[in-house]
Amino acid sequence: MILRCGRSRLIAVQTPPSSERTLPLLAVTGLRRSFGEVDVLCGVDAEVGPGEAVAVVGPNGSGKSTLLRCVAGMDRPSAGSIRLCGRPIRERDPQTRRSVAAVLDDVDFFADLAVAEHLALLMSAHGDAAPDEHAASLLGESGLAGAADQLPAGLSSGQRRRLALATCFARPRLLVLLDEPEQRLDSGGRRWLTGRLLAEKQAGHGVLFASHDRSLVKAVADRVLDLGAAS
Amino acid sequence: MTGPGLVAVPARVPLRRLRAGSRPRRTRRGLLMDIAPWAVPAAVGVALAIGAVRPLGRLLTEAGWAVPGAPGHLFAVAALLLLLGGLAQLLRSAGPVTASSAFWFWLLSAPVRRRDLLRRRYLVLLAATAVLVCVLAALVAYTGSVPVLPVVAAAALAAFALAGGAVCGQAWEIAGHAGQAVGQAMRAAGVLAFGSLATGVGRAGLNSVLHAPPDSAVIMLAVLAVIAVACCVLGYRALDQIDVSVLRRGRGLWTAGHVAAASMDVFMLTEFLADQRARQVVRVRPTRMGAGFAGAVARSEWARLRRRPYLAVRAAAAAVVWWGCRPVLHGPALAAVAVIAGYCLVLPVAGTLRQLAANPGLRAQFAPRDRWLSLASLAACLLATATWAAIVAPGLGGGIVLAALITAGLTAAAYRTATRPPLDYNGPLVPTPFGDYPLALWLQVLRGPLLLAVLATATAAITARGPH
Repeated sequence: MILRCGRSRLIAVQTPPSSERTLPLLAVTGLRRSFGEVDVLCGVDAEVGPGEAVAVVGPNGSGKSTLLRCVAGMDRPSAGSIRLCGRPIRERDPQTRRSVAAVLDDVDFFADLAVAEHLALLMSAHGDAAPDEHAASLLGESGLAGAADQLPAGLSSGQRRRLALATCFARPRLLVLLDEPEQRLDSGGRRWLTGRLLAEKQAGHGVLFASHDRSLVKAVADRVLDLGAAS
Repeated sequence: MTGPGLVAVPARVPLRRLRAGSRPRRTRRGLLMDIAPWAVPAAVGVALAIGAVRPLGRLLTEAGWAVPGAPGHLFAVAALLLLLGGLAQLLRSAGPVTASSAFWFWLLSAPVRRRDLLRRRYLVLLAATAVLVCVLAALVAYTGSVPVLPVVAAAALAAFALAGGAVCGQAWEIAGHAGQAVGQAMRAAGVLAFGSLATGVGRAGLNSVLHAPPDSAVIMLAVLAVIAVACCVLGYRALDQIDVSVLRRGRGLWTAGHVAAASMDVFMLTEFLADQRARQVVRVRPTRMGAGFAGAVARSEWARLRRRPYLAVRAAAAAVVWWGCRPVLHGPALAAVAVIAGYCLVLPVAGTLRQLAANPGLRAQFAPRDRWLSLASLAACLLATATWAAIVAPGLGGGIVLAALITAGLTAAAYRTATRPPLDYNGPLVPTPFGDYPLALWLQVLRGPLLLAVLATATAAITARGPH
């Protein structure tokens, strides 16, 4: 498995044997993103296969969030290509949006819907036959059972983070994109997140996440992409 | 003067010089650029209002309705009460003396007598409130053909009392209930006064009060002056008791209002207010979504709408405006009122549509079936506009064609407004006397209202042809 970046280096490689390789879920090739004269991403190459987790690390300003936003289709790269299951990724494409579950920095909720209603509606939108029951189950698992009847504005920042992550796990997905998912979570929340991401890998989903939490990266990531290695 | 644990403001003059020196020196052009986004629309609005005064007065007179002068008096009283009610609510929501983050972080956290730091802000608050109320009181007095001087004097004194009282209320932590009650009572009185335009209830009594002997007016002004002075003094003395949480309260509202005005997008303010309201409500009784997606969407949309109490208030206000204007306005003018009131009523119903359009993250959560949520919101808009059209079309002398036109037009205008794309600052700029503005800003402003103007024109044209 190749993981190469223009100004980054591969830290930990646990490449599966070539016989076990499958077509990559996500293939990023020569990705560049510039803001004016500032090059944030310079020729990033990366692949994420099914059942793999890749952690993106680096100091503030190294382009982690920009990379994830480009992959999620929320930002347009200046150059390079991003392919999901061999198809160019486009946010407008329903197939793309069906396949990618992302929690970046733009998570928002309906202000007038309770937490349980929000998850149940989300599950219903994705074809769940018993959304209310499954939403209650997921809320219990994510530690939000006591906040099921609360409006999102009344949640603490940590609870909002848990709800955002729960929305990611409440829907069908092939690829999970998370931008610093450990932020604002307490120790119990981080344990839940770690277990959830490991379960994602076991279910065959690809995970691409940016993080500053070394223990989370160590526990979950198969490979690490260090965007700040050259700086 | 210092008290236990307090110190006087140390070296106030050097501090002021330091703060002034740290600010970028503002040129006249820069100052004009800062003022223009607020001043130009305000001036245009006031000019339009003044321009509309005489035709409205003539219409009222030509309608031959009620005692001469009475509708004008009622309009003036209602407008003043609405204005003061809105001001009371604003002072309660914004905090009477707001402070920027830097100000409270660097200065208010120091053991300095708070009154010394807030004195100038307090005086600015009193002056700004009085000037604003005086200008608008003069306008409504002119509109209602009421003697301007007594009305302006009474309004200015009431404004002083309101601002000073708001500071007292915040300091004594009673404004949460009292200020809200005062604001609601004043606005309710305004709506009732306007409603009496249509029904005539209490018209003669109010007219006789407004034509009371001059001695009564002098006594009333004297009482108001005593109350205003007392409130201002108490407010000044209460400055020491105001805590930082009160001072910070208005910052979010101020920021949201500023962003909404700069982007000319009222949704930015209404979303902030909805968020604030949700923080107060906290818990609700969750609705079961059920298995089918269509049913879940309908139930969620209904849950969201019924949790917005201001929708009912808006509907009542729109109905009062409609029934109030029917006896005094005819033809195209009445059609314009019907269309604009309907637009104001329907726009908040499109809240789901707006949230989905403005938040790609939220859209992505529900993808690829987010369009169904948008369609449900659009269907709610359609239902609201159809109901409104069924109410107003007969009054406009139109039939099913006019009702269908209003329904489709209002829904389309609400859709266009709610689905505004984010501002593109990289686009071309349009030069104006006040600087260059992004073309996208103008396109945004025109996106919904342009369609509304077309609809109002078409409705007016159909109405002018007479009953069908």
